Amino acid sequence: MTATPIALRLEHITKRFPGVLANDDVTIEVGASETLAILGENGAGKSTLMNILSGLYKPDEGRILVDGKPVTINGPLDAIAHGIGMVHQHFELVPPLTVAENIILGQEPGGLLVDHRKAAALVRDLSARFGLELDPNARVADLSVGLQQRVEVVKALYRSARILILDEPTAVLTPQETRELFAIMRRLSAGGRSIIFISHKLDEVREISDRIVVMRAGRVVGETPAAGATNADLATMMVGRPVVLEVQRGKAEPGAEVLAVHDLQVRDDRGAVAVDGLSFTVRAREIFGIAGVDGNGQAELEETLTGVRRAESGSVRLLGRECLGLSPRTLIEMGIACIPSDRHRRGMVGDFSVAENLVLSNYDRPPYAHGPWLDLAAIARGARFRVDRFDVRTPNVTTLARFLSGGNQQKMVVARELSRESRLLLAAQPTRGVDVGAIEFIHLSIARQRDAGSAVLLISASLDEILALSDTIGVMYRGRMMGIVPRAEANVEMLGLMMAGTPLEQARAAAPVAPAPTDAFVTGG
Amino acid sequence: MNAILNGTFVISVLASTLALATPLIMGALGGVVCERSGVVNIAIEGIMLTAAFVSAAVGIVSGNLWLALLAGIVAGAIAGLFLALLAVTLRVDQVVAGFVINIAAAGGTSFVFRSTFANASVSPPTLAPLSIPVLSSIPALGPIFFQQSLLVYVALALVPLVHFYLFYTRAGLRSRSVSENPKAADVAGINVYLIRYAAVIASGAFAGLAGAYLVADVGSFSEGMTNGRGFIALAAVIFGKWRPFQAALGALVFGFFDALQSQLQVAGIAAPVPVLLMIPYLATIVILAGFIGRAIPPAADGVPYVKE
Amino acid sequence: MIGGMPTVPAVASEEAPASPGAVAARAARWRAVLIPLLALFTSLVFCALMLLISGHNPLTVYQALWTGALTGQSAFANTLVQTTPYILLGLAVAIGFKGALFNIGAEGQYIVGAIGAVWAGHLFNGAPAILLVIFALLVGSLVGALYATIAGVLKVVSGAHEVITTIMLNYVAAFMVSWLVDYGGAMHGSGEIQQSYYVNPGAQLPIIWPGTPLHAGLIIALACAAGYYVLVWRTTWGFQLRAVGLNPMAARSAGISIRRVTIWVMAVSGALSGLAGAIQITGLQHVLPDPFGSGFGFDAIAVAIIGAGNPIGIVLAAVLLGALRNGATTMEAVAGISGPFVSVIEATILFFVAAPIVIRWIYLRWRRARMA
Repeated sequence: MTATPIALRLEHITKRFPGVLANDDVTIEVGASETLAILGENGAGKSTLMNILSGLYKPDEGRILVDGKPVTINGPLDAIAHGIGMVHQHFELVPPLTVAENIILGQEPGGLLVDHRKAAALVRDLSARFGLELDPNARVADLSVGLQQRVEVVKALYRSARILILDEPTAVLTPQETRELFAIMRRLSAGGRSIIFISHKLDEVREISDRIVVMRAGRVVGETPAAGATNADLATMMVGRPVVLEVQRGKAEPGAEVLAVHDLQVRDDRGAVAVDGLSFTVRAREIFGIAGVDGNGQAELEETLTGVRRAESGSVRLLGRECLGLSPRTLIEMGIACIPSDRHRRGMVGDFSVAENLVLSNYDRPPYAHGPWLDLAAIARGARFRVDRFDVRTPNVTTLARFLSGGNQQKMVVARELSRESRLLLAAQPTRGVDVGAIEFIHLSIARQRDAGSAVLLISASLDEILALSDTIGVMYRGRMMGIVPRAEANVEMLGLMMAGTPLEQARAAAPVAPAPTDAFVTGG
Repeated sequence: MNAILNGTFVISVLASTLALATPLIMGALGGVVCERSGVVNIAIEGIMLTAAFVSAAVGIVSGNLWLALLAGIVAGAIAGLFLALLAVTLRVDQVVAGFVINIAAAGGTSFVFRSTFANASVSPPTLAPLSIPVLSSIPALGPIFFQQSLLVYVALALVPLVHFYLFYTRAGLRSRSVSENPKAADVAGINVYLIRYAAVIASGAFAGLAGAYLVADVGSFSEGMTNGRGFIALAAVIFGKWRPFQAALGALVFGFFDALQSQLQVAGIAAPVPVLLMIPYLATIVILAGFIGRAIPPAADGVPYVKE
Repeated sequence: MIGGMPTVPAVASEEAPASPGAVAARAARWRAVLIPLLALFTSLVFCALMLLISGHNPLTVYQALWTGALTGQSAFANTLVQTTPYILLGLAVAIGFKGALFNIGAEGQYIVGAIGAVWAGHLFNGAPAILLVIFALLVGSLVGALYATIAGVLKVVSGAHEVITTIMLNYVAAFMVSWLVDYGGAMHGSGEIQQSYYVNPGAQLPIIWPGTPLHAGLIIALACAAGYYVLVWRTTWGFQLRAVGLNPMAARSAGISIRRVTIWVMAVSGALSGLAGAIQITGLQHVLPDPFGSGFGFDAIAVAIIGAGNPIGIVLAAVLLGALRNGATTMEAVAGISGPFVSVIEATILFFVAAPIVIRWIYLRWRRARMA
């Protein structure tokens, strides 16, 4: 297929899990010095395929050839031995250890004793060679997300990886950091390495790769050189049907002020400043979207607004009433509903049934309880109604929540939060890890809530989602609001600059003011 | 009151602190090693007791102190192996696994004890205190530091050794990574199960040495003689935030209270004996509650690892 | 787990059924019953092997156990008498598990409950029997609750781990008994025997099986088992408890107060254990000896785990353990095996229940061998 020698070939790979055919007869080739993008939505099978390549899973059928020779990969060590290095989407780092310790883990220089000096020297050498600046003695836990990713890349290079797999690497980077990463990738590729770049972001994929393979529902559904491919074609191949570009909703008619955040200061778990003098307001019938790369204080903001974290100073007023220092219970009663960014940890109880999860915040009031007694029949009835209304696919309401798919779990959380009388809906990363069908539904539900008069605060790391839903957009960077603009005045470049720390005026000047909402963004990026 | 406020009393307390803290130090070091691989060891108590019994039995039969000590270590290691089997391979909840061993140890040692040498006339060999030449003649410091039995010095020497192991060797680095993020270690090609097995077995050996010491110190075995020391050792681990030196310090603090109550009894203080006996246990609670703050354990502590 | 989030022991937990439905649910229930039974059987076999190795005849031993525990009116009644505190203590530990707390202090709470009951009974020695009994039971429960709350408050306020604090409190409670009850103590009886003063023997929980020591404490315990079910699964409090036990962060975000739940569940747990101690006094002994209740703490954990945290299982497990302990005296007299051997049986059963995978492995192989 390609003129260059084939560095890696996956042949007829099939992998089954209970109830799911994750990879269905997949055949893919990568040439030396080639950057291949594998494009697909969540659940398309990309991660499974890469886990097979990196030795975490074994394929049920098929074989793998490196440099033309079939190889068996029984575990991560084999993959490393064959020159396959993977940079995972969720970093596999040990936070309390240093950068150097993380990089050398498993292949430590020296014998029984760890030669720390040699390790630091090796790390500095690799950093210099590829332009990946790192301090070997820094603790990984103290590094920013972008730097942690660098540690992962150097880890792969340390093991002499010649085939590098990058799994959704730009999910946690600003547009500027993404550009730096691409520069690094080009350098690595020029040196003879093959790169497999996994993503669902169409523009990036077209920019950096030589060839694009599209996967859907476990199979390869299309392949094209990057040059000449259009977003529309790619999106259609990925999703299998024409894609909705902007979420249908009523005209924006913002009402009275509902949430007023003023000069909010919050520290994170390690005592560093996470939210640094943040101020903004959200009105009724408005979706205020906060854009920003993960890790700039959004999680701490979310936790403060739901009463789970104490703020240092500042004020948060809901309809004029001060919220800081109040318990989660009180805030819920005041009318704050929240779709949390981490549904497994804070959104649902996996070992509770769907019905029990649906009453998690109002199990103790009528009609679900009379005094201390639960009314199980009423709970089940209410659950059935909501499951139906919010399209939660579950065999019945007594099924344990952990058996549902990610999208249905999220819909369940949405069902619970949107069924309450609320003044403010806080939706944090509402479609993370959710399949396309569910994404559309969730976005429609949020829009409906706003049309019905609620104020909505949307926090999302996906610019696509922000642009698709918001009426007003603010950008958070290092805990501060870089700028607030109406949707009509925003575009990707400007927002991207602000996400990397450029203040509003400069960003506005640098990026064309005319908005470009008609670029083909797939909802749920 | 005079009997308490004079120097002899203080010296006696401090001297017996080291001796009484020794099994706690050993147990705590074992606990640190174990939890720094991600496995919680609630069975320190039961392993200590089992090893004490085995050590006493071997001691009586052979009359050889060193064999008895070795037997205790080996018995502890075998018990540790069993714990590893439960916790790592069978993935039983680690606290439950610990209690299985504790219950089996309590019942098993009593049962076998009564049907074997409960009424024996022979005693296991004891460990006499050494007197380090010259140094032991120093007033005050001499009796405290330089007239202890060999195992006391062994325990103190083990503290820097464990520290060195954890922070300067390859095995220690791997173990720490397994305790914080076993998936990352697995992906780096490290054998998580092997490391945990080794750590838990080693932890058992430490607890075994502690049990053997208990017997060698008093020269006999009695049912339930560990009396909660295994759990106090665990408290020391938490007190020390899973670091060897601080955990040993915690063990010393708890040992101090034990020594205090014992010497108060000897000094004839006018307080009921049971109340004095409560002191070390109450101290443990107060210290654990008051002086530690939120101690953060290794991230993967207590969570069985499942290779996908 | 120590220092981290405590995990509820996942005994006989199921893997994700590919198609959860009525069939899978029924199979799960079968397994819940089958596994403890197989565990019991397998551990008896295992312990028999151990007996054989050490030169004893397992059949004689088991026969002695059986006779001592179950044959004849008096033996069975005595077993049920032993069962009564085990039910309550098992419930106490189990309710802690539901909130992801390891209350190992059931023993200490049992002891202080008994102390409270003896003190209360002594104080009102002249009162009508029924009032005295009720008062003693209430005081015992209250004291047990307060004692457990100490560990609960410490945990909430300082994060001190309840496994260690409750075990320490057990030892403190045992010493308290010695202090109060031995010669020279405040609650000492008369003479040289290390025991407290008598509580009016007339103030006795009614005997429900005439001619035996079996008293109404059993009824109270069974009522508590039913109450446990209602409390945990049918009340809003129980809902909070389960949520906190399964996912404390999600519970907190939903507005549930983890602190309040922790303290209350320790209080309820302690009340159950304290009640057990009070029942032991007013139903059976009327006096508090030194030592009292040793070893009950570990047994309580075993009952809770073998009983898989549900009331029926706990009652059955309590009967099992009561039978073992009761039969132990006969076993010792007739077969010459000392009492603590039943702890070994108990630990073995606990092992097989906690690691059901071993049972499945053994019996699956055996079945395959048969079919081959």
